[in-house]
Amino acid sequence: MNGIGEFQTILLVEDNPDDEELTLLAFKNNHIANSIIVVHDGAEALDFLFRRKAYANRDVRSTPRLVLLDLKLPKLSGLDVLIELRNNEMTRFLPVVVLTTSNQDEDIINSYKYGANSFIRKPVEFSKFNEAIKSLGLYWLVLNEVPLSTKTALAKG
Amino acid sequence: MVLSIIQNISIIIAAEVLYHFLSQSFSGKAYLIAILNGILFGLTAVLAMMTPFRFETGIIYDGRTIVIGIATLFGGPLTGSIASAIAAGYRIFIVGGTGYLAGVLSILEAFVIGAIFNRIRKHAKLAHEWPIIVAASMLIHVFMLLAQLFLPNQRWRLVLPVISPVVLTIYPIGFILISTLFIEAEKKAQAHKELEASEERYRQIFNNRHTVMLIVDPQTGAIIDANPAAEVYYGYSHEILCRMKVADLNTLSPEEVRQEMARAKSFQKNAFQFRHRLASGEIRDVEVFSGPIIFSGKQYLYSIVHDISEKMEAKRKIVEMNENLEKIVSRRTEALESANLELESFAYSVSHDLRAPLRAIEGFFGFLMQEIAEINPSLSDNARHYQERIRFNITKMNLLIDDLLNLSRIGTQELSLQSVDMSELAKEVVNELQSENPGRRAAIIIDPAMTCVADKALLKIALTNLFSNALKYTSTVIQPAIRFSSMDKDNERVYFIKDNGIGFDMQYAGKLFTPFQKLHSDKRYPGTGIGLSIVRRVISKHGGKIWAEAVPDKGATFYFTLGG
Repeated sequence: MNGIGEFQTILLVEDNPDDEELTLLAFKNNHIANSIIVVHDGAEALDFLFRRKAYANRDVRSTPRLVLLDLKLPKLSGLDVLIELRNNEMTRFLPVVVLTTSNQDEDIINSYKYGANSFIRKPVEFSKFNEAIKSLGLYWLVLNEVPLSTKTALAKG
Repeated sequence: MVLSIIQNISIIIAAEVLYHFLSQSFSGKAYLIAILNGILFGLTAVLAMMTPFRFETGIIYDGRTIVIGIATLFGGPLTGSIASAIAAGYRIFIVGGTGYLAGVLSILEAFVIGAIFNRIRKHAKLAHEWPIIVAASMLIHVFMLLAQLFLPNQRWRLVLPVISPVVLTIYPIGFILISTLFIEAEKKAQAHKELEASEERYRQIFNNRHTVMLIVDPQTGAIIDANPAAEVYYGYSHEILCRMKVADLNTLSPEEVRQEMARAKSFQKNAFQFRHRLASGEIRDVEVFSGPIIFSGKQYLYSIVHDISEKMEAKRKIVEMNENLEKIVSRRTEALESANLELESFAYSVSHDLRAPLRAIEGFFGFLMQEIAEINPSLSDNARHYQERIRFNITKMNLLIDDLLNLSRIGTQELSLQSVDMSELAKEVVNELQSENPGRRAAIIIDPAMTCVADKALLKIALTNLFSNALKYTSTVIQPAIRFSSMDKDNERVYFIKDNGIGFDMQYAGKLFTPFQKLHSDKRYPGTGIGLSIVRRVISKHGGKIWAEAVPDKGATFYFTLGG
């Protein structure tokens, strides 16, 4: 694992505390040591990413390498967040994995339409969920390459 | 003698005029005409006898054969006999003399020959008119000469050389000449009669009491004539109607009426729909058939008016009912749509909100078991069993949620129809099911080339459930066999999946397709109890039907159609 460094953060957008805890547990269980920042609704997610309001003074180095986005969120929905991200030059190429309980075709189609990089349905079974988080971490944090410009853009933002 | 006969012919021509005057004056009274004409001709004959060619006292020659012959030929036997009687009477009693027998015989033969030819003429064709007249004229006068044989003292020897040339030339010519007049007059009378008859027919048509008819002057719109039916219908007397204009009846403006009349006049249109106002003020829907007619050199419009108020009312009602129906349908559709929308959001909640706690339970249970294993790696059998049961129930709950979601989704989903190779689809389904449960080895026969038009994704869900059931309920028999086939029944394609599994009691067949109704124990045949409900929803969505037949321990057959 890469360990802690610049742009190694994961942003988890999740309003359900159980899901939040389980996701964090699964990351820990799979020895994914990246720091995980949790926000609980769509508006907060955008504030964090664009360093607005409460997050105006956050360290640019905490800009995430990966966003795990639930769809059903208070205030702004996951899809709305996705649209905002893709419309902004800074976050245009930021990897976003939709991690949700829904498996409705409509949600899957819309997620890809608005630029999600991946769509994962949270499996109910513990072992499968564990497995999913493990694969996810390995793929998006280790194997996947992001253009340098994204990192720079995020840093400047 | 020639002069005398020409004078006689003039008298007869005068009589001819009188004859037709009488015929027309008393038209319809045939007997009276015949008698009056008989008298007329009788008197004419007498008149002729008063200006004769006198051979000697008691032997006179005149036009009486022509008069009697013509009277009988054209007037008929009755006229002829009356005329003959008068003429004969005059000859016998007034003139008298030696030649009376020959004179009366002349009258008689003219009558007889006239009568014979009158009869022949009645049955003959028009083309034979002239031969009949010529023959009659010649015969009458030949016999007239023969009648002279009855003159006393063989006077004929003296008489015949004198009169024969005239009797055989001037007499027939005169006869034919007068006949010409009669024939012409008869033709005229006939034409006149026909005209009257046809006029009568049309008057009858016009004067009927059922069809409203008007005759209108298209220039002014004035009603020229109205029939009794029009009086009854509009409630105006004939006099008032004939003083009115069409625009007084029509609810359209006079200008519009004028335009419509112009169209009727020029044959552009002959059927119109108007609203007419009756004397009572009531307004009725009418259909007017109108067209131009010409009489007295002027163009008019005839109009046949047909009341269609009831028809229009019925039509209005139909339109109104249709509109109402449409309103009801759209209201129901709206209600249905909103119910569907609710159902959809419900389905979404189920998928998202009901699953979340389940996943939390499962997740935390997993971590709990991990923690426990770290503290105490060797779990008791009981603990392992409890763990298994918890896992099993979580999985089952998850399946239930999936099935419920599918069930409600199928209801709201739009069909996307396409041509489907059902045999191929069934094979695909069977392969998937067998790879999920490698233990189950059933002999499965799928008829080839069963094609249909259906929503492929939905059909796959239905087939998956049906085959999954067949596999499940044959899992306990020694040689499980499943067959997917089709047949024609009542002009409909019926598909069926037949198995030799445990079947079911037909008494419970009604419960099969109700959600959560299971006919077998959960322990041996696990399932959510929603599968067949899903199948039924898919089938009925296609407009098809599904039903099952079974015998306990012998197997079950599920039949379905796909509508259309």
